[in-house]
Amino acid sequence: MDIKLDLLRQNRHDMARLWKKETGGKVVGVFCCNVPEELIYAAGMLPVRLMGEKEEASEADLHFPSNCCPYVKRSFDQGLKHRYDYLDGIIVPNTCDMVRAMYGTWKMNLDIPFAYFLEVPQRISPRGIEFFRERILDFKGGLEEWSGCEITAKAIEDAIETYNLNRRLLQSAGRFRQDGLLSGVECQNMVISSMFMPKDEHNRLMGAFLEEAARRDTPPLGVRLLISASMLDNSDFIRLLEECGGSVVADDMPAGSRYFFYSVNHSSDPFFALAERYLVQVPCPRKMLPRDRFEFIKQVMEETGAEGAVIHNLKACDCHLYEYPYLKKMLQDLGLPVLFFRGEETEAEQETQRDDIEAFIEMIRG
Amino acid sequence: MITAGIDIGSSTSKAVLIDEGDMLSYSIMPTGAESVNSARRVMADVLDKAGISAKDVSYILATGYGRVIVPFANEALTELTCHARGAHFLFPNVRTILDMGGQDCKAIRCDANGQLLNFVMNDKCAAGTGRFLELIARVLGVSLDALSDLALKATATIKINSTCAVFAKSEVTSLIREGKNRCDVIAGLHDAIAMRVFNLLRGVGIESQLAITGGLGKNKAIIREIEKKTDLNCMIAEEPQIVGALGAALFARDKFI
Repeated sequence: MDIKLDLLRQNRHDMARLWKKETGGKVVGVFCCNVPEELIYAAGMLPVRLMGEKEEASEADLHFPSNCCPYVKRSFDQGLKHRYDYLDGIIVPNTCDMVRAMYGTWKMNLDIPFAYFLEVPQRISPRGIEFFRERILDFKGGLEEWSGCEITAKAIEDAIETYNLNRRLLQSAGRFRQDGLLSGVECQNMVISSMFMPKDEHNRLMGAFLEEAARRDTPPLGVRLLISASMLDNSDFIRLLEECGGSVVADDMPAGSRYFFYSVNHSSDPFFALAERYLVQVPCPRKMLPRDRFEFIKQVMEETGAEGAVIHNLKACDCHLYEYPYLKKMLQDLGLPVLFFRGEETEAEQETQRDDIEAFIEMIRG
Repeated sequence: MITAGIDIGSSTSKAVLIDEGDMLSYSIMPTGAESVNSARRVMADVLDKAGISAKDVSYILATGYGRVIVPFANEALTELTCHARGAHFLFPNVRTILDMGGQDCKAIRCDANGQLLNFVMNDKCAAGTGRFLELIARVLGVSLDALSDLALKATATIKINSTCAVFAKSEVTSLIREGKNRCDVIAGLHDAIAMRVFNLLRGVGIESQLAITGGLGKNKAIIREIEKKTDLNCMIAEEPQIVGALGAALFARDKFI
């Protein structure tokens, strides 16, 4: 099944084109975990997370300085190489400086009919939630104006339900990996495929997948690891950890638990509930104080019995890199060994990382 | 019970034969482009030196950058684990190990049993490695061994600002062209390397006692600078290059305990 999940990512562009052909709907590219995708889904559109490929970013390199986020650069490179030519729109939140800049960069260089800039508050506070609630309402208005169709309260309610179901299924996958029923790679591939597939379809796929996984014999787990990372839009790094004798049993990443932890509350004000879920409950260093994030990570480590933590930050990811020394200290104070990488996620890099990971695993095994 | 440790590094390949706790022989050879061949050669040489044949060896454990390509090894472990083990065997009180090899430089912490506690590698940079000093020696037209002696003759230390190997090379060339004393420039270079590895050591936390392993352990000028910066006396094996291979041989011996 793992291979199939891998194939989904490879075929994501064809899948989106096919969906568009079959439904006549609009496909909308999205950056980051801060965009309430429910509204896009409720508008009858297909939200797809923008991702890159591990190839030379030959086109995007002409636009950016060398000290920039490799993930955002590679995603834009895919745009410049016409692989996203099916997109009808993009949604860009002001997550970090580089993502924020993509609003103008994509608009100026790519022929995308609709580009929307979503303001996300920098801090979690009651006023921040109120502000974000209003921006979510504006966002709904923006989508309606563009499509010419009203997004009904019923459609929003249904979308929230479908998305919450997806989160629950991914949470089950998260528990399965703790028990060894799923590998970390499989779990990561599930999250990634959820980011570009229509959620109802993904729910069906996951339901079947989890049913099969539940019947598996559990192989003995390797060294139990938590991975804390900035954006990893593929499962290669987790595969490397697991090839070296680790078992990823928990994560703190955008393309991981940040995507599926916490559901949207049932509320008479769905916009408030969305604001709360996306602003308050996604434990992202961009907006959450280290103190609060670390409580979350601590809890995850305890629940999953992780024996060590691997931190993987992309080069130039300010949000994560500034937090790193304190995260490392917190983990070490808990008595957990920490392995840190900062890089660009290239094939060549993996070979040097392999040595460190093997030594780390040997160290934990003792 | 004879066991072997073989350490295929980026610059040199090392092999050690031990009989229980006693070293029978060791061998050091350049790795070259054909790592498999150098593994075979260094193994043949170490057997030859001990006057025994391959069938007398009960277990072979490979380590180092090329550990996975050793065709005749029974098992492989990383050089970090093996350096900690080897250094702990030689210096039972060691807690911090600095392995300065051809391709990279590692700061390692171990506990009272020689068990790895923490480590940091220099990230993707040649400065502070054997290869870097080889390059500088070539630029200055001296042998690698002479470099350390020249640094020790310096009367002043000229500050080298570049930490990148390529930039440092240009900086050294222009300082020499400006007529600066060669020994003082070389001393500056050694000081810069020592500063880098000192920061690497701070990354794992320096705890007494400190041992230096790897080829750069033979460079007296570097050792002197590191000792100054850490305010510690460095423990250095008679042959610092074989510490990893020795650790591997000891792990091989454990298989029969």
